[in-house]
Amino acid sequence: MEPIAQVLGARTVSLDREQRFFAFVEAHQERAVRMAWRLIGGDQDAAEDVAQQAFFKAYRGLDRFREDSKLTTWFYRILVNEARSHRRWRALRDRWHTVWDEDATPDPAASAHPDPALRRRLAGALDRLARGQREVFVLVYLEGFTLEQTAAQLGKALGTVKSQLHRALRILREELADCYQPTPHKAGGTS
Amino acid sequence: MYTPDDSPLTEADRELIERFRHDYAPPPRAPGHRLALHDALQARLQRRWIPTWTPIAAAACAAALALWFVLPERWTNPPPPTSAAGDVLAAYALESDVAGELDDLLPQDYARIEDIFEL
Repeated sequence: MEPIAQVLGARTVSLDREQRFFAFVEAHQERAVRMAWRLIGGDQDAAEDVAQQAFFKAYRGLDRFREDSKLTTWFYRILVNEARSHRRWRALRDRWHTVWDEDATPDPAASAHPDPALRRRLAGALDRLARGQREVFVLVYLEGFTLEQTAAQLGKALGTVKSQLHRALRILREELADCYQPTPHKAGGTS
Repeated sequence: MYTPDDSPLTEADRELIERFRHDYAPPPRAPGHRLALHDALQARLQRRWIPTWTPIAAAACAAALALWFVLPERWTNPPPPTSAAGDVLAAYALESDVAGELDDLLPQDYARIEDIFEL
């Protein structure tokens, strides 16, 4: 197959960067799809599309990428924006074309799950969080990014990320209290 | 301000997070999915680049051109004011009605006006 850099000529990045980028795609696509899936609320096909679009935009913007920031931070910021965009369009579509809901295929993973009701509750609780709270919760607690990485990816101050994370956890704790046995805070625990 | 150290995670919080990690995760991707994404991405990147707004801009231009030809000439080229319009205006205020009205004002009147309107 003809290398992309040759096909697109001077507008594109070097072959070396192209190879590095596809190595990056290989290394990050599982996480990207999983993260998109959690951010947009459990739609596998849409998650694949969002991840692919994020990789596509990242490649297009490689020329503008400043090496002083990490490629992963930059890419996941694009992914988060794509997920936001997807949710906005879906909300708009659902509002004006409610008939589409009837045609929507249910999440096949939900029925395959040993406890589909629990899965729906978790999805619903996460979906009801404010956008910022949901994003920080997914990035920090479910995807394992540090607070600093999350702040950089979302373009927010570290303090904002911390407070949103705190609120998200408090809301989920209250909403899903019957799913587990709450215990009082222990002094000296770790975050 | 909140910091993680101020509000450490309890065992219950950890359990809740673990539940999310375990029970709110996508199904395992089929082996073909990885390859499909890679191929689709490569195909998109090799395609000649056309901005996403190009079709919208082209449609808008076509619509504007069609309107230009369809609309009657008086819509696109409004006629100049006629003498009839001038007559209507003249009926409400003749030039002679306001001529010389400001001539009698004295400097103190201007000062009062400035005070009133806080100029």
